[in-house]
Amino acid sequence: MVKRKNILTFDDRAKLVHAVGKIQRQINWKVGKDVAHLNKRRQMQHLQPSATMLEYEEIILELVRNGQNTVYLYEFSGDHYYVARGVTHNREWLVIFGGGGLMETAFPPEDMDDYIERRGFVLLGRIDEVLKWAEEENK
Amino acid sequence: MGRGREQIEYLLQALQHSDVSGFELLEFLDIRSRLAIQEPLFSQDDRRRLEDIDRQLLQMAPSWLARIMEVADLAEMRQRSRALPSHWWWYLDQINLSMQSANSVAN
Repeated sequence: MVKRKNILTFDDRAKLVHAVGKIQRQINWKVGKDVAHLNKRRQMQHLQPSATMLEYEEIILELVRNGQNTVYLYEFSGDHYYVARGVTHNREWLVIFGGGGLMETAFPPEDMDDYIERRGFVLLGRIDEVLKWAEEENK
Repeated sequence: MGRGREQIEYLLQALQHSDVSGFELLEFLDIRSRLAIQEPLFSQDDRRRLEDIDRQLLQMAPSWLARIMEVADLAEMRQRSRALPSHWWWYLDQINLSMQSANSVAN
């Protein structure tokens, strides 16, 4: 059986750990996308109508900083995207980010399992497990 | 019926916010497929709203396709979703091609 860790090459694991580390420290959006996503979250009632960008980003940070949450890999056209999945404020969210921790989106799909299966996300493990890969390799 | 109406409302609101990641637009297509299964049970009013959703989606096909193609191959996604041929919203790439061909003939 292939270990989840071995789904990725050494370099790819390093990129993953770097991306997770970056997003855990700070949310970096593509230019102008922060407001577009916040407005949609408010409109869809995923967040309170009065929610601020700070509150939205606090939710995202809570999700990516919780080591018990799971992380998936999605590959498209040679680019890797990482997907953190977890529950906060009684809702299950996905945070999707790319190389260097660049934010793609954070939203709560209507049917989480169906969404993950249809996109072909590959489960890598818990966030804390994934971060340990780097520690093990540096020993 | 209540769930279907909620999903219709969800899609109507989502249409107002298409300047988001292609990952979210793909979820829209998932939900549209779920609604298709319930469609025969919808009231006239709900069917009208669904037609309105479809009309808007069709108008936005080029921009939605571009956004989706930033993060996914739509042909692969419809295969993964086992999309029925009647679920035209999974064929925005083909629709876009047809629109381009029609435009070039017209010009």
